[in-house]
Amino acid sequence: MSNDKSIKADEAQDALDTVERMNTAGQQRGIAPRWYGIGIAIIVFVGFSLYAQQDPGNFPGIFIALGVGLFASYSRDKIGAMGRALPDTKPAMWALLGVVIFLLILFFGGIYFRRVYDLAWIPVATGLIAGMTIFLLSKEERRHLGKDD
Amino acid sequence: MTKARFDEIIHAPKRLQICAFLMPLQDAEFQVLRDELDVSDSVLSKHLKHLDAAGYVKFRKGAVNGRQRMWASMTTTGRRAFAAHVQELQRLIAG
Repeated sequence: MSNDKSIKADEAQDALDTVERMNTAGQQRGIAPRWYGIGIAIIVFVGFSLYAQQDPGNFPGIFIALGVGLFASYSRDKIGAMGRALPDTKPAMWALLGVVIFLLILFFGGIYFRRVYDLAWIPVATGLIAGMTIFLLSKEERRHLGKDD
Repeated sequence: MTKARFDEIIHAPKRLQICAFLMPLQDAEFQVLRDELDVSDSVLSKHLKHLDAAGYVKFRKGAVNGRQRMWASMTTTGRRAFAAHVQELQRLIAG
């Protein structure tokens, strides 16, 4: 499928310029619109907050999973492209892992304090922190890629 | 680590553009690719078929608002081949 061929340095440079230009275009195109971050943040906030009820069962977890899945699918159909969920570089992968762990701590922390100490406001507070974290990260991504005002 | 390797399938100008555009994306709709490359449907289809035959891209079809749409994405093989090709280009420039 592939074969070796030698090309001149200036042709290679032109090709690399094209790669850089199209790569940037792809990145720009894959950035979710502003309402995407807001939408996911609201779903997560509502889902976490549902644990403030006496016995919500599995409903909040299902609500978050289904809500985020359906919302992401709708957004992809709407904008016609979707950025990669997993980053390419190791530091970015560690950062993502850190965020996921942080959100899980908030999620299970909220459930623990509600069940053990009967503190109904804790899941609401952790939901607010989780929602704000997601919103600010999406805003930061847009700013980083030059798509925010 | 990816080994630098020139790939003639990827190096064709339009296919290079398609791959470079798809690299940072999970997938992109056919229309989005067509508009970004400023080519006709048939030209884009031809290049995508080449990449598909090499195992570098894959397709997903689905209906949105009752209309059939197609999304293209890079395969793992395609991503590796593209990274190797870019490395080879960089090597050529470095001399």
